[in-house]
Amino acid sequence: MTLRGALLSFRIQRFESTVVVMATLLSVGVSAVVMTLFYGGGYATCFGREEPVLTSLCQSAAAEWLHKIARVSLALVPIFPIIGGFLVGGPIVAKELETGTARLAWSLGPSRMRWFAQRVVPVFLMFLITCFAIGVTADALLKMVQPSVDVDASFFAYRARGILIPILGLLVASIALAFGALTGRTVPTIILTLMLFGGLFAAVDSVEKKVLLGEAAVSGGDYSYSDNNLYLDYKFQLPDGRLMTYEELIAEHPEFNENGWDESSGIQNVALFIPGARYHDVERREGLVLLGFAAIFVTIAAVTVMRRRPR
Amino acid sequence: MTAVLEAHGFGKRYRRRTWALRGVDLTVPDGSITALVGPNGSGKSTLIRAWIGFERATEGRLLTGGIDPQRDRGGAVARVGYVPQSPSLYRDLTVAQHITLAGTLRDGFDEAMAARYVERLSIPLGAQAGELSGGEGAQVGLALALATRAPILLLDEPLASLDPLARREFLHLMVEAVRAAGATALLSSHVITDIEQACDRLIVLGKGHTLLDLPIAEAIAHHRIVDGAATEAGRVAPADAVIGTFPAPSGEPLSLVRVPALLPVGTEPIGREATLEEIVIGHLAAGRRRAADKARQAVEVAA
Repeated sequence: MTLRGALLSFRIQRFESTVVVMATLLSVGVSAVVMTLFYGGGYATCFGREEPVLTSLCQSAAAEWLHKIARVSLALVPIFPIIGGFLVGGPIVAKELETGTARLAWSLGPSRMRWFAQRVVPVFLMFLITCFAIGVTADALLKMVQPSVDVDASFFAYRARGILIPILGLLVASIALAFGALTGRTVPTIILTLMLFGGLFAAVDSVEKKVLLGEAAVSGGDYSYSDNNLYLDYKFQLPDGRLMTYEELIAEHPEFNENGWDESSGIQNVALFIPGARYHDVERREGLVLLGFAAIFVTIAAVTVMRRRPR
Repeated sequence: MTAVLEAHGFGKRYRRRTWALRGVDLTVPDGSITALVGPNGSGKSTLIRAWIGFERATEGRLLTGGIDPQRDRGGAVARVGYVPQSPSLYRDLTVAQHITLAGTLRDGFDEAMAARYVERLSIPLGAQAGELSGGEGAQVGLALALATRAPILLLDEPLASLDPLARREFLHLMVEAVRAAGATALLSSHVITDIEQACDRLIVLGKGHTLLDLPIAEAIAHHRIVDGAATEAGRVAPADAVIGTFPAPSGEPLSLVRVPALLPVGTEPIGREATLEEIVIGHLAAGRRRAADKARQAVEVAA
């Protein structure tokens, strides 16, 4: 793959590349300006305290607006890898099959794998870089919005910041790439990608939750809550240490169904959670699983391109 | 005579129902410019696409420059320059960028040659493909195919959207380049006058079968036209020599008759010399009649 080939790939997907890059530049640029004004103006001292700070600086409209923009930007981050993934991955093969340009390219180049690599690698790389920039920006925005949160030891805004943003983006783009190659149509590709991504993400989330439940810490009955932890479930803990759901508890002690239980019974409500300190472990593991799925979809796309006939 | 394109009992069926082609046996000799003629749906595009590995055979076998495109598609593509029916250029790329793209996809692609051809056709290198006319697009497609320096050129009805002048320029460039390179070209087209100018061999496909496969000079030498329907033609020629009957532009029936190339001294040739168009039409009419007979027989057998 040459630089000339890579540049032409961007040229062929000019619209999609421009939208993704411009959205990234806008997001990173606006965030940078907001953070510069926020920290430069001394507004950082206004937030992250138990009590509101009632100085004229902290009550100014600027403080409120800078904080609001940062929160809205942070809330928009999870949308970026999904929309960007559709835009970037979907048309690579689908549009070429739809418009017939695949026929020209595949008749010129004896190796379809070379064509595939030339079309996919630069665009995916560009998308990864933009998603990474968005993920890093989200980390910085979180630090600004929640100064008390240690971004390296907290599940706050999990999957909406950091390294999972480029990985989620890559997964969506890979699914769209595969469906694009299979269907050869852009619109069905977007619909199918949305459906599969939703299903796959729910499945990964469900499996991951089961795995994490096996590793979860159990909080005491003091109902202490920390934003940094990842809370998975709430159960009842019996005096002998067993954990039960409400249904299991009632099945064993039907009398509790009527009157509840006595404090003296020793049964207490507990939360199952992963401590914030394990954030990077969990993030890394989920990232690897999602990367594995992305690799499978890229392989499906590549095999389909090798085998299918152009229109 | 070495064959560079071969079909042996080739058949292609779509979606387990319709046979686009069946039992096709033909060869295209090295160094020839062969015309592939047939009505719409006769399987010309399917055959060409199969030679470049874009279609898989349902039965039989193809060879492209000695390579089975089904087993080694890359090898077959490397031996072929292909011009499809519609130019299929990237709308957002300029002509020059198409040349660069081709250079990145194919080793040995001659970018300078492609640029020379394009400029010779008065197409600006900086023009966006989306702004080109259908004819200009086809010419760019031809320039790209020629600059692959492939020994085989497959042209799938590239003349369909071209005006007469563009057709002439296209054919002139193609013939000149193919002759200069000693390459082989297969040109699928409906326009018989163009074929007559450019090609030296003729293959007629009809209803999925080969109806005629001869050098053009031989085809003309072996066919005559007799005024009137098959019965009238049967009076001046053996009955099995009458190939098919079709209407003249005036509506009068004409019959195409197969004759020996050489006649005994003193023998008057029957009818008049057939034009290439009449030969093609006569064979297509015969093919249609045979297909109708076959269908009728099938219905009778079923009944």
